[in-house]
Amino acid sequence: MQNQASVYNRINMLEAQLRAVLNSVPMAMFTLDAQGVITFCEGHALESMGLTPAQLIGQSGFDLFPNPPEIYQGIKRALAGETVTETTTVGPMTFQNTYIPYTGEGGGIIGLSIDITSIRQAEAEAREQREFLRKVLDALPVRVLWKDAATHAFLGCNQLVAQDAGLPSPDDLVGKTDYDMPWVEQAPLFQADDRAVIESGEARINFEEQLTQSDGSLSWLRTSKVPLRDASGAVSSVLCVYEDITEQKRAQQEREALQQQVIEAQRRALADLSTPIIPVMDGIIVMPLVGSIDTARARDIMRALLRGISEYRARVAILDITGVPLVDSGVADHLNHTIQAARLKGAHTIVTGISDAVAETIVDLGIDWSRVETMSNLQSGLVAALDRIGLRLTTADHAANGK
Amino acid sequence: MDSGTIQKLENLLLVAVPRDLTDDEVILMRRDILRAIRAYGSQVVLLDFTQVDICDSFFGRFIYSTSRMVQLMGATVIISGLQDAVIETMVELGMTLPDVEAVLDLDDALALSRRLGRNGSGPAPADGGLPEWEE
Amino acid sequence: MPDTLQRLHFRIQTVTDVSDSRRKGMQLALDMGFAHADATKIAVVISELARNILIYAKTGTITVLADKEPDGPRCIKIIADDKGPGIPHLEQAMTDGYTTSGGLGLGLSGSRRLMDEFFVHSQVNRGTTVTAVKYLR
Repeated sequence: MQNQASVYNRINMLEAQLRAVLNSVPMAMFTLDAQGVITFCEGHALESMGLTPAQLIGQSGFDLFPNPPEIYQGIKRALAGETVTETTTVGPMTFQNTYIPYTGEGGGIIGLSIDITSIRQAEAEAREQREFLRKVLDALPVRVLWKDAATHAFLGCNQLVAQDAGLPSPDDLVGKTDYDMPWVEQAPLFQADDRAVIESGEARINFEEQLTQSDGSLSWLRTSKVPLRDASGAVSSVLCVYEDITEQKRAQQEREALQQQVIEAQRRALADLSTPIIPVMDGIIVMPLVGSIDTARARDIMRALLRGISEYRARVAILDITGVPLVDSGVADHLNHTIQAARLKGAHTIVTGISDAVAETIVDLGIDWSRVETMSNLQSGLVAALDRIGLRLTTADHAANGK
Repeated sequence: MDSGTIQKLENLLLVAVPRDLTDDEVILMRRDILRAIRAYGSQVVLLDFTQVDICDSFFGRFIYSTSRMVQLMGATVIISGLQDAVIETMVELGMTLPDVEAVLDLDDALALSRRLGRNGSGPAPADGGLPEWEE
Repeated sequence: MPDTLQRLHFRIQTVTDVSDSRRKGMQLALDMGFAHADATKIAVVISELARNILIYAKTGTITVLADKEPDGPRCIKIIADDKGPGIPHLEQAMTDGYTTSGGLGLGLSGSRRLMDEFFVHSQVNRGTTVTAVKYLR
């Protein structure tokens, strides 16, 4: 008698536990006899279906669920001994149903119905979000590419990148690296940049670099690389966003070149102002230099002198340095260069305006001006110049007689 | 002889140096020059560099070697027509050719060749009435 | 065209390669905005380096590229590279008048004067690389 009582208690307890489970999770459990008649049903999911155990018990499963055919078939096949799992959508809800043949006394089947509506919804939302993100990525007028931090293999990209690579879709790039792309030439550089970003953990924003396209041409890019971290906080991938700035670059370079030309023209004009050339007569020009002479000014002086020799067909150029305060070896070298340049043009140079101090400095510093014709003042220089071109100054006294 | 690049003018041989010169072209040109000197008794060879916009040490060597060869034949090499940018580069390069005389233009070259013609050997100038510079 | 605007690469094996490389290099310099006189100097440096390759190494390469220092000025870079005999006495080779080919001895020393930066890396029997830079002012 006691044995029977404890067994009875145990059965009651199991039943209560089962009911507790069934009524708190979105599922339902059915038992059907060998003819398919529902002998038991319980579970929270029944509420969502709008059904009660009373409505179902005693009914034939075949009669209750002629549609959809999956349920009908499921019951049938389970009664024949097969365990079946299938997913059915009834109205707004989706259930995952399992039919288990009961091998105990009387036969029949046990059915489990799990409400997976919310799971399905979540999956659909996630898919929609992915689709939307894909649309956003492909709509962006920039290239987006992300790579694995360890292997540098592409994890994904947008349509523009696939286009650049000459491949039909972004999926064709997954698993490949920069070395498999038309821009293989830049691959070492790109991967070095990736490593820098990964190791430092810091993004590199808006830097310019070059890329070889699938047709072999070279483009300019403005690129940003951002490290992406996983749940543990470690950098797991690198996001690369870049846009093609070839056109802007070309325009910018043309602008810069033009700017340079303008600056150069302005400098020339300024140089001309500070390096006046005075033609004193056929074949002789004078260039008075005033102020200090540094490398840049020396270059201007040389250029102005050469231009002057051309313009005035000068055979002799007089460089007057009366107004140059300091003559050291640097200045002497610059003047030497100018004199050599004038000579190569076919003109002889006379340097005038050598003061006592300058003469001493030149000798003391050991500057070799032995080949340079020098005069102390402009007047003597002029006489020497005239002499060189075969002319002589005479006074007008000769012609005075006879008045 | 390529009459396009070598012209005889009185006592002077005018050589227009082309923009780019290969080693072979240098040899041919020098040969033509020496041949012309012998044929015309020219005393001055004017190397005109108007067409040369890049003048590196190869050109410098060309000028020196041509000058030496021409001197052995009793004539002189003078240069003209160097562009300003070329002169600036040569001076900075350190190639100032101090032993080679440069003249401003053809007029000066002719005047110089006439002077040499009067003083030294070689044919006298064809026309004595041309304007000349006093010595 | 973007690729020829930024970088030029030449294989130097004949004198035609020398003229070609210096002419195109000069054009790149002008396109970048270098003044005519500076472009001429750049052309001469290319010419000198290319000729050195021909004379000593028989074959090599010249690369001319437009570059920009970060936060700095734009510049033109000439890289002359060969796998030739190398330069045994580099200091000497860089002085005016030193030549082993019967030339004027101004190729290296003169080129250095014409550029703003000039580096020579050479190993006997391994080759020589010369890098020369001129800044755009």
